[in-house]
Amino acid sequence: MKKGILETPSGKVKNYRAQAVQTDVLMRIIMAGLTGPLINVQPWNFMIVTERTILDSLSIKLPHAKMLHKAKAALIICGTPEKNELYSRDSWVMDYSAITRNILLACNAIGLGAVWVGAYPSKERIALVREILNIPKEVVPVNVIPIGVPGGTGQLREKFQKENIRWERW
Amino acid sequence: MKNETLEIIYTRRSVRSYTGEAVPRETLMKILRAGMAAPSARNIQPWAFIVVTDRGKLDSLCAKLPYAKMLDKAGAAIVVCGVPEKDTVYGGKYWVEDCSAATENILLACHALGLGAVWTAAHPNEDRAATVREILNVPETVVPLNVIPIGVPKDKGHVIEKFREENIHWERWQG
Repeated sequence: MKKGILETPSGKVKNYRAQAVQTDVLMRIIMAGLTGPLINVQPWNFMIVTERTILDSLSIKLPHAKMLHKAKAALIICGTPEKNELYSRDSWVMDYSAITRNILLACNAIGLGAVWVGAYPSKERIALVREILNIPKEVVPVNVIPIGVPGGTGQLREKFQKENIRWERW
Repeated sequence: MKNETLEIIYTRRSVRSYTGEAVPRETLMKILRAGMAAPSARNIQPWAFIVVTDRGKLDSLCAKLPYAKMLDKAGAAIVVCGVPEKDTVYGGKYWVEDCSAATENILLACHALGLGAVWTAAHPNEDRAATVREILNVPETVVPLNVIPIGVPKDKGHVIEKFREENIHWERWQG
């Protein structure tokens, strides 16, 4: 039985040591993202930022993203939710959430720290990320994921709660 | 670089055909624990999980949900539910993200344990959500996001390659 994934701790890591994240590692992380169960394969785009000035700019301007100051890379997941009303309201959220979940797990499996910093649905945050990264207006940056070599191990919380489980019916 | 966790992620696929064998309760508990390990906005955990193993209920869901016909041979189903009222901070804005992250954990855990599973959506289709509500007695304040049939795989499904290098942009948006 392959159990590795069930034993991988996945605490959020928000501080990072100074060490670059390699290109091939970033590619493997994006590949892991795209093995999620997606309603629509396209048009998911991924931005990788490693330039210090851009990371710092995001760190300064974006709320809840201060850890970018010490991160060596950031991954930005971008969607184009124009297909139809239901898709653009909720279904695409399911797709990018599964992608994000896989990306965070892959980072953790590789020994990197990462955390999900949301942009969507905040209009201000989306506008900020668009401006800094030159993203066209029909494309929505849904989140920013700082990635780096962990400075601390993060904190693993036990979240299993029996009362969240109902057997056979509500 | 050989990495067992990455292999699990890379080889997960939607499995829609099962042998009909039961899925033991302790296995379902492991899967649910993986689901609840998902991150959620402000750690609010706006979710609940209905586990269905009763053949009559699985058959009812199978008969009435258009995209869940594989339930006829599933050993169990997990219904991931959003509970927006648990979120008093953001007014229930992030439950779809949070419950989707929990769903992906559940699908990966099934695969890691050698089981097959598939995400069949209920929300945002109102008819399907209403069907699940009716069969499983789910209150109006709770939203069934999906129904995940789980079983011993009969066929392996196939991995769909979705990676496209042209969709990766370095440092700034290109094109």
